[in-house]
Amino acid sequence: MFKYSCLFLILGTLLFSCVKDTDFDQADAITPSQEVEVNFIFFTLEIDDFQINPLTEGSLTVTDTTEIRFLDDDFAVDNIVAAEFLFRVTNTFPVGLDANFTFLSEENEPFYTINFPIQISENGDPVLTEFTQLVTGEDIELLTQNDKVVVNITIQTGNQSLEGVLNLQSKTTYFLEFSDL
Amino acid sequence: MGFAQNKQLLYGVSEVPQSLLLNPGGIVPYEKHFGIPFLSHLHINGGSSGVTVYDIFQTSNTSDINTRITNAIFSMNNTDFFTVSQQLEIISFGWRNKSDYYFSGGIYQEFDMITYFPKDLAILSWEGNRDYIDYEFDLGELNASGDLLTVYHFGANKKITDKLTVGARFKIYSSIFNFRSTGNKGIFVTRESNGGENIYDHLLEGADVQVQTSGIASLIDNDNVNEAGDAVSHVLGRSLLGGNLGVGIDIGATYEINKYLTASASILDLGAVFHTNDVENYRARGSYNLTGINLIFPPLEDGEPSLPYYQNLEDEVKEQVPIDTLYNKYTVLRPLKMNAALTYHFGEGYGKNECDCLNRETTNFGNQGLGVQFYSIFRPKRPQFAGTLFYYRRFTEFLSGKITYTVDSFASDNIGLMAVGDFGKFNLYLGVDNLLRYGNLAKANHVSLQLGFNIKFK
Repeated sequence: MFKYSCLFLILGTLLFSCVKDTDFDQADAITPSQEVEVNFIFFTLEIDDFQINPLTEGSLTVTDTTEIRFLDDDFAVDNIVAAEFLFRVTNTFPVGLDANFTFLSEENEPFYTINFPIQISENGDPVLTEFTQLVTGEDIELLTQNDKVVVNITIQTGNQSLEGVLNLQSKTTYFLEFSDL
Repeated sequence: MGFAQNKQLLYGVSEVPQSLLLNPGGIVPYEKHFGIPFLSHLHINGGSSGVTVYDIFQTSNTSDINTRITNAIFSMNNTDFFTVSQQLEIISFGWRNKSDYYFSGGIYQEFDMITYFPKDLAILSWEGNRDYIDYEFDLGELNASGDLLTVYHFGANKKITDKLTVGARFKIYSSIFNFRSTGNKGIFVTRESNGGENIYDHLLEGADVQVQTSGIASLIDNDNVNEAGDAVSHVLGRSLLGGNLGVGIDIGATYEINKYLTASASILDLGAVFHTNDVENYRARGSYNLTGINLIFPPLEDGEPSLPYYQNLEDEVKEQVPIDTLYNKYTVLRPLKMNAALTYHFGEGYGKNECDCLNRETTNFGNQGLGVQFYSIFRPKRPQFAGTLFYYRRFTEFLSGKITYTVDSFASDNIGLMAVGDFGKFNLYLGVDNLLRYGNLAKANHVSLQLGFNIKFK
């Protein structure tokens, strides 16, 4: 009988081989969750960059706009569950400043805004301001409707010969969950 | 772990004509053979060196699938790999001439693919870069290659002395498609900028990533392939020597040291495929530091658009790290394979004519064999090796079997079994690997099956 055992063993193995103790429906639950750090905007401003603010007397302002095309892409809309903006500002102006970031949709409709004050430099030494804004929940839905951002810096002085430098650096941490793989 | 194309069960089993494909200098104990078309040899092999299906999809109350995937990513190394290979023999034949040469030839189709695990890129894709500031993600880990081809071969085998049998086989490869991405370089790293323009430096340094393809561009070109029928005729044309061609040889020998001991060795697929038509390659090269968007607040008139910062950034990236589409020819060496074996023969003869299947000096001897085998295959990153202990037994004139125990770098419990039947002129064989895992294939790193049907004349 032993002479047939090999054949029977192979055939038996093939006939009774199986995949068990597994659940392939779990594939639906696969959710990669990335946390991606990306530089955002940076710039340096001196007093010459500012212009008289037509809206508020006694202040100067400066404005610029850039596209952020990926922010309203389907990829971003579907997968970004939170975003955290960090702004790091170094200021030597001896007056207060305000930073405003207004996010606009493709139709130039504002859906999300970030505002924060920038600390005064009392003696001309650089003063560091760090501001963090966490965007979650419904605000994320608003943020991801935009594809550009308008940056507005207002300095609370009308003195166009004031000395000082403002440097802004920023980054965004995107929290992504790919739930529809 | 599965070493694609390691056929330790079939090697040296001279009753099966396809063993000549593993050693053209093997013993040939029959006068002619024909393979049943499309059924004479089927070999399927799939393997993953670092993870099993069970590792990911197990039913568990203690961990969720995402945790298990994370664990798998971190437990694997960049030398782990996934491989799939398959061979289907279309035609097989052989005969012995009056000068005692045994000629054999045929056509078989082969698919072979290997992808190394790009651990760094997997971590980056799975977790992002937030917890990996200053960590250099290695783009060189991207390493994959695949081939679908038809092989036309013809070989000769002869016992040139009482002890030595030699053989060689000439091959023409007709490539249906090939892709490969090997020899990539570069790193991606996010560093905190110390006195730089922005908070981070996202650095792509020395990137040189390339994908070479042949036989694929025309398949995905809608102008060339409009319907499924077009695709089939396109593939058939390329398989029938209409694609990129290559040449190669197999050589092998068997030396009967004495009554008890036999040594054999072979080198297979010493050759290359020359990819000259339907070639399309993609190459990205360069270095770049992504610092973010630098606003300069230019004075603008009413209605004047702002500067195209984002477009400028995209253009700068494309300029610094261009992705070129190239059409230059390339040559791919076939994955060179080596087999070697040492067999100790013992036991009695069998059947009416007693044993001559192993060409023993004494006919009433040698229905069993115990030995060791060695196998290696050259792969893009490094050669892979496997060692096998085996026991062979000829039970009757019509039934023999071989059991193998194979050890390689990743697994030490691969037990395989093969049965060979000779029912009159009808020869069949069936072999399976990793028997210990067949109770639950999900736990196997490697599964392999080979079977075939031939007609032999003694």
